[in-house]
Amino acid sequence: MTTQTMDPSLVDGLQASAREILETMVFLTPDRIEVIPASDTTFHAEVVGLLGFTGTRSGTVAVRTTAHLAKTIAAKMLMMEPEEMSGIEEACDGFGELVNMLSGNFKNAWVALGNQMDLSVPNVVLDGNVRLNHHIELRTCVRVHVGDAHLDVGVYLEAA
Amino acid sequence: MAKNVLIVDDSATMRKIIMRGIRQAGIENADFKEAGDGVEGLKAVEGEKFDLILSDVNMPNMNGLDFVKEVAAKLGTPPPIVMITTEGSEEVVKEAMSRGAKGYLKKPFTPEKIQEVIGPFLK
Repeated sequence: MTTQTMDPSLVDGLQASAREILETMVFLTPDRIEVIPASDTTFHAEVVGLLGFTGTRSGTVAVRTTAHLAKTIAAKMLMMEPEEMSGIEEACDGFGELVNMLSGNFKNAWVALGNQMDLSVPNVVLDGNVRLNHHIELRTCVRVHVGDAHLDVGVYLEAA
Repeated sequence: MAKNVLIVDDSATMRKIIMRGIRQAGIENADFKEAGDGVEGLKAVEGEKFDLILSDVNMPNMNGLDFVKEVAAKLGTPPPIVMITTEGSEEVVKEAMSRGAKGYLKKPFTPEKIQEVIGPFLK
């Protein structure tokens, strides 16, 4: 299946919202954010946040990172140190909220182009293999570099 | 006298962030109660009087838009409800307002924005 190119305004918006959310809600300033190839729909990561959506197109927002960065993000959202967190569940809840905010901001840009979108609630998978629907037609991924680690934010849209 | 504020959000992390944000905005006169979704939120308003309700939109069991409608139906004259959500599209904002919400705060938010949107309800 041919993979189409996503509207540049959506890709720019995804990068801008990732920066804004990390700076405003997580108090982390990304070193840089870049667009990377989103060729894979099967991947493994220590922490994967997934949020499905329906509407003009169905699809998935998938946010992947290391357990350490996920815990750091969740802790910083609460103005805590990672070691102060009660456990991985608390980190997953915070990471899920990050996925929720990224998805909601993507929805706003998507709807602004005349589309419709209904979001599910986020799910977080720990140390898992994830396989997205193979009918993905339109995809993009931005990589957010934070120190030695990174966060990949992918949006995968199925064929209309 | 402290204002009684109910926060309805399925993320415990976000509920804590909202409480922290309100304090960072210089609003000190608030006591907080928490609910994890619209169903829990409805139970809370049945048993207690609130001066302000802050609600997410995208929640399991009962979403924020249905919660606003149900609170209005149950209480007749409900306390002001402000939606706090990532979904800032005109369509969702209009829907929330038509169901009785009095304000709208989009995530991510700053303490300044909290003061602007929520502050007037807690004076």
